[in-house]
Amino acid sequence: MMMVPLLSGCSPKEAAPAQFRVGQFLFSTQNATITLYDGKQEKTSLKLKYGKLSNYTSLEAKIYFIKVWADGKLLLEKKIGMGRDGRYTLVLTGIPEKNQPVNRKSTMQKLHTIVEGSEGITANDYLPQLIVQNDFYIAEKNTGKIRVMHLMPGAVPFSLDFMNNKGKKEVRSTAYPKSSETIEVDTGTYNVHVHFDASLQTVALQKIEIKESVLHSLYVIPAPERYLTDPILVVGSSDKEKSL
Amino acid sequence: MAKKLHPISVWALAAGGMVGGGIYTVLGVVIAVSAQWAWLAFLIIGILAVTAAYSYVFLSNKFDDSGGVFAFLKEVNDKAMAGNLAWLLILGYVFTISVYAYAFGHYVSFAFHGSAFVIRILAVGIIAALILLNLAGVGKMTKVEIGIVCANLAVLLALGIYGLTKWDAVQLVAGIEPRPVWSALVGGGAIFMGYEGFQLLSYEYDRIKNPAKNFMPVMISAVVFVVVLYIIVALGATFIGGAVSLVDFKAIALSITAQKAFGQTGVIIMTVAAGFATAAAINSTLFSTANLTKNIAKANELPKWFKHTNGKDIPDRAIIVLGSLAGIMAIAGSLTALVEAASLIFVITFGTVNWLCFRESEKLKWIPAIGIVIAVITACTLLFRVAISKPVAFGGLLFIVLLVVLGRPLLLQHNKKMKTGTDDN
Repeated sequence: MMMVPLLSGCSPKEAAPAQFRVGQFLFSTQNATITLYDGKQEKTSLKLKYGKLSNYTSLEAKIYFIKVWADGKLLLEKKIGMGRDGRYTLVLTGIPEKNQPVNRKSTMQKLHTIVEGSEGITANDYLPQLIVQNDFYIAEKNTGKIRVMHLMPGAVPFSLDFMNNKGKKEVRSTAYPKSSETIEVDTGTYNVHVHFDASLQTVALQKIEIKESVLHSLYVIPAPERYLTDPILVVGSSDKEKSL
Repeated sequence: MAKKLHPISVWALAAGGMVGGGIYTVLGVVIAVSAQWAWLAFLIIGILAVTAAYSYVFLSNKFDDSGGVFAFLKEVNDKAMAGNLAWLLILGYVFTISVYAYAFGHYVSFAFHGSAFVIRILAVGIIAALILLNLAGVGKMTKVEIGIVCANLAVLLALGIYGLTKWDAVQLVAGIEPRPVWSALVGGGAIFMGYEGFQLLSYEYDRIKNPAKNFMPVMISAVVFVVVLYIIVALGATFIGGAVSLVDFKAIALSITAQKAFGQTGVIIMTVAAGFATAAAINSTLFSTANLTKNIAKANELPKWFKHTNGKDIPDRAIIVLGSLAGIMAIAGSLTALVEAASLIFVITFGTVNWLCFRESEKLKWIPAIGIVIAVITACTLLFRVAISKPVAFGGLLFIVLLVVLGRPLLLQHNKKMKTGTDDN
C-alpha cells in the first residue's frame, strides 16, 4: 500500500474537461443538428452540412443526453458519458428513411447491443446511427497515426494506399461502419489512393500530410448525389481544432 | 518426498492462479458489455467461483483425491462424463494458456513499442521457453511463483486503491452508452476464465499440509479476496483510464491505466507485473495440465501416447502438444473469442463440480445449489452471446463438443481393440 502515495508523485497532469467533435455523414441529408443535454438543460448545439467534420468543443465531463435532427426531423437519441480528459468524435452515419421513427434499429443491431454492448456495432440495415469514436491514442516520436472508418453504406471494404517517393503503405478498411485499427505511418506528404477490394481502380485520390505524434482519422463517405460509385475522403487531425 | 505446502503458500498459489493473467485481459471485454456494471459482473461470477471453491474442497476432502473434477466423477462412477469433461477441461486449459501468452505478448511489446510481429514472437517465445523449462524438470517453482504472486497482487491492489481515490462515476461510461443492470450477467459470463486458476490447487491436494483442516478456509478466503480485488481493480482502473479506452485497448488495458495514472513509471511497473504474472500463470497451467493429461491417459481416457515421460519423469509429449496448440491459438485467435471459449468450458466444469457437491453433501446444500443456478444462467447467456456475436465460433464450439461426446468413445473403443489385439498376439 506504500506504493500508492509513492506512485501518486508520478501522476502526469491534472484532469481536463472532455472534448468532442461531430462528423455529419448522414447520406442524403443537407444539414444535421446535434444537441447535448445535461438532464433537460441544453448545453451545446452544432449544425453541420453533409460531409463536414466539426472543430473540437470542450465541455464539462458528464453523462449527456444527445439528440440528432436531420433536415429538421428528430432521428436519433442516445446517452453518452464524456469522461474527464476524454476526446471523442461523434460520427453520424446511415441513410435516413422517410417517416422514420426515432432510433429505429434492425433486429440484428438490437441483439448485438444486448450481447456486446459498446462493441456491438453493425450496419443496422444502413439506418441512421450515432457511433462514438475514442480519439485517445499513444503518441509516438517520428511517426503519425492513422485510422480509416468505412462509412459508405452498402459498399464492400476498400483499401487506402499511402504513396510517396519512399514507397507505399496499404491500410485495409473493415466492413461498414467500423474503424480500422490505428496504425503508425512515417511523417511526410502522401497521395492517398482509395480502391475497393479486388479492384485496382482508384476511386478517390487525396493528398494528406502525416504529422509527428498526431492521430489522423480518415472517413470514407459517399459523395453527395453519387452514392457508391464515387467516395470522398474527410480527414480529421487530432492536433487541430478544425477539420482539414 | 516433496515438502508439504503451508496454508499461506496454498493461499498465495490459489489467489495467484486466478489473478495471474485473468484481470490483465478480461477487463476491457467486460466493460464493453456491462459498462458501469462491470464490477457487478465480477461479483456475480465471483459468487459462482466461491461456491465452486467450496465444492472443490468438499469433494477433495471427501474423496481424499488430488485429481480434480476428473477424479470426482470417477469416484461417483460416471466414467463417460469424467472422460468427456476431462477432454473439454484440457481444451479449456489450452485456451487459457493461449490467453496468458496473448497478454504477455501485448503487455511486453507495448512497453517497447513493438509491432504486431513482435507481439506474436513474444507470445510464441514465452510458451516455447516454458515448454523447455518444464521439459528440463524445473517447471514447478513454487517459491518463485509465490514471490511473483505477492508482487503482482500488491501492484494490482495499489493501482485499484489509487483509482478509487479518483472516484468519478462518469468515467465508468466515458465514451460509451450506460448499460442496464442485467448486462452484468452477459458480461460476467464472457470473462469467467478470470476466476478459473484456483482449481489447479485441487491437483496439488496431496501436497497440502493437513488439508482436511486447512484447505477449506484457505481456498474460500483466497477466492473471496480475488473477488474483492477484481471489483476494486474494475472500478479503480476505469476511474483512471475511462471506459472506452479500456475497451479499445483491451489487450493492454492495465498498462493504459497505469500510463494515464503514473506516466512511463506506471507502464514499466505494470509491464513487469503483467509479464511475470502471465509467465507464471502459463507455467503453472502448462505443468498441471500436462500432468492431468498423463493421468487421464493412464486411466485410458486418452491415447496412451500421452503417458510417456522423459528421463526426469516429465510428461514430455503432453507438454509439447498442449504448449504448441496454445501457441498457435495465441497468434491466430482473437482475445475475446479465446476468453469466451475458455470461460464457457470453465462455467460448465464449475457447474458440474457444484452439482457433484450438491449430490454428495448432506448439509449446506444451498451453497452448491446457488452455484448450479448461476452456472446454468451464465452458460446460457454466454452461449447466446457467442451465437449472436460469433456464429462461426459458435459452430466451432458445437463441433468440438460433438467431437468429444461422439468421437471420444470411438477413439477409446479403437484403442481397446488395438490393446486386445496386442494381448492376443
